[in-house]
Amino acid sequence: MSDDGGGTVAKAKLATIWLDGCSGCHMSFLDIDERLLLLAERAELVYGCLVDAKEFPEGVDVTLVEGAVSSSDDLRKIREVRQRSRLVVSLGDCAVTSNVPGMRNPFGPQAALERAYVENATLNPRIPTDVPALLAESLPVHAYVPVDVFVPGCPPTADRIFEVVVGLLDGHVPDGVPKARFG
Amino acid sequence: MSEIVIEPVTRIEGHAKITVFLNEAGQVRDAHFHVTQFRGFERIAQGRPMYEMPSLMARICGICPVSHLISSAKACDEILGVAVPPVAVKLRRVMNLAQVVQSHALSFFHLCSPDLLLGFDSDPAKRNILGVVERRRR
Repeated sequence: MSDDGGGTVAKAKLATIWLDGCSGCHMSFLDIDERLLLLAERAELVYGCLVDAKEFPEGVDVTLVEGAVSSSDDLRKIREVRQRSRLVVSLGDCAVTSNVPGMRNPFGPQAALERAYVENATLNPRIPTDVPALLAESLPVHAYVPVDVFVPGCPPTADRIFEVVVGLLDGHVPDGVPKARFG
Repeated sequence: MSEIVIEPVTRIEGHAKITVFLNEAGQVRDAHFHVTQFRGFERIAQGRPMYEMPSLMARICGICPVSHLISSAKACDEILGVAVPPVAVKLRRVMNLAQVVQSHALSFFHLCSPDLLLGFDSDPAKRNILGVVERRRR
């Protein structure tokens, strides 16, 4: 946050993005409940599945990334996010380790697609082609771009997310994973 | 022939893209709703321990995890050939209904309220839950 010279303090730009995850981390973010009011005083939400912006903007201060990188689309998005964000946070186990999406890695995307769209199909068995291509492996965010902060948990608790976001807005990178919860 | 592409589709519970195909006269010829995310749970589940299933399937969707968890538990009950006690059936029902309430509240307050309170024609950059908060303060 910085003073814009006019006596008002410019709000920090906060963004979120949802790659290959279940949105549970975004739900945990919303579970900060009334603390959203505190956050609204400090930051504006400039991109994410909760807002209407179609383009990821330039000059974002903090971006929370949920999900692993699993498709060509995820890869394009995370590279753009990294380029346009000062701090990138891997939010939750899918972003941190690839977690559930990574469970397909031992047998690859083709076997998973065959099972879902051909073997299990009762009507029109067909693997869709007009959707983003799956990468050979589903990998954590830091496999492709540098990550500044890791927040594990499936999902991380609302308290932890709030603490991390406020910490980053205050200008310090929260340490370690003492309050992480697994399972 | 041209196309209108809406991507990403925001403020819905899921990943999607919409393509509207127009003919030479600019009329709608076809429309596709694309589900752009695929993880392959149908294959991931194969060969994994049964006791993992309810909590794993809950991860299909972080917004409606309870539906997937309970469906998975019911499938496991059938595989084991067991009958669930009446109290447990009721508890599952309560849990599911609680999720319906929770999910509707989420959809109404966090996703739809910006359109209803700020208006469909309001500035897209402010048309979100934090924009609603800001309006309340003024």
